[in-house]
Amino acid sequence: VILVVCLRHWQYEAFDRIEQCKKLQRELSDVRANIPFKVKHSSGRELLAWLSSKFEAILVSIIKDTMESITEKPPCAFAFFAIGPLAQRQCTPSARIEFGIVVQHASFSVLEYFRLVLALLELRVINLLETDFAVFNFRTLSPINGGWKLDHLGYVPFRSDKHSIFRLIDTPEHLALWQENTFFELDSIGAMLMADSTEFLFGDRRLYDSYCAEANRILERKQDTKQTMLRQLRAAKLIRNEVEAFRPIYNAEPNDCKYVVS
Amino acid sequence: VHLRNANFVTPLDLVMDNEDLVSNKRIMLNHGAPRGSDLREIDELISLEVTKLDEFLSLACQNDEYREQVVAISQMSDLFLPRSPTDAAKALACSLRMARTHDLDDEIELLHNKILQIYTRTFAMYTQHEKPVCATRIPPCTCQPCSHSNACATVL
Repeated sequence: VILVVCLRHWQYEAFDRIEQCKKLQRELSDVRANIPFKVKHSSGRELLAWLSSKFEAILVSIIKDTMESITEKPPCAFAFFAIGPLAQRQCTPSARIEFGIVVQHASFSVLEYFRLVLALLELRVINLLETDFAVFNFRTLSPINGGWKLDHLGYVPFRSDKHSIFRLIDTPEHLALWQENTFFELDSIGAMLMADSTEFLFGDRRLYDSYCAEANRILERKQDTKQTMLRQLRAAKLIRNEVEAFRPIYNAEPNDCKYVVS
Repeated sequence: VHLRNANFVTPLDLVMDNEDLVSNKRIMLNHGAPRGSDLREIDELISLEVTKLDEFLSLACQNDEYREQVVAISQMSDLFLPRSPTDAAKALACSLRMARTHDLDDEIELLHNKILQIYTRTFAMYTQHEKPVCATRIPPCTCQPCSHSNACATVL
């Protein structure tokens, strides 16, 4: 009898999981189907904001489902936060999923728990049927066009590129260390995204707020005798670099001989 | 359509039942041995079978045989599953998308069951602390003042 009950329960859970998976697939394909209409009837900024809100709702739903599918309770308080386009409300139709996690304690058991969560979350994202995988013709073509998917080279909690030492799951104090000069020199884009382009998604809001407060504390530190904040120094440096990179080079262009002083 | 040889054996069965394999390696594979462990013979066997499926898939593509393509990709997923559930899930998603496009309802049912197997498999791999390559464990660091971050140990 116990066996039959267990089997029924498993069948019910399996059915439920497949239904949930289909529901999310439908939601995503509805979003895709509505894009041409939105393109005609709204501005570019409105379209990106609308896409971001839809993607955010789906991502939060996936995170919740994944956490609920594990019997074990989370070992400590946590907060998921979006990074990059999702936080800036500028998602394009083929945006990647980028997010991080703030945890109360970054112990080994906590990281192991979230590794499992992320593995299951990735399966759910793959089952949205927008992750390309080259299987055709000796694996050079994919039957699925790449769309909204997880990218291990992007900004995800456990990254697998050369910067994989910078995991995006940690305590507020350690995540805020991205703003220190040592880390900024190594991955300035990541540090800048972590400074200004994050947004709370799911979990304990206070934990996320404490991360923001910690990052701001570092960025508002006075740097020199002029009492310039680190944030201001970085902004000035960024502008200088941009100006240098995009400055016009008149003499190098063939039609600009008039600018050459003989 | 089922891709089996004359003895009704699937590609994965061929790998798993290979007589040259030592039994403990077969058991390791069954329980999700991490990539990088000494299972080269199994990797070679798997890649050999994947190559055969690739050839079959190319032929099926040329002849527009959709059911054959769905089955071949699904069997590739079977082969990926022991070493990388993520790759298996990606292949299965491709197969499912093709099956839906061409209304192969019976195959869709089978593929849904396989998706659930992958969830179960992933859960088992992680809870038994046996991990695929994408989940390389970061060893805890004991440096000061940071007690746990590798980044702190190497950079600060």
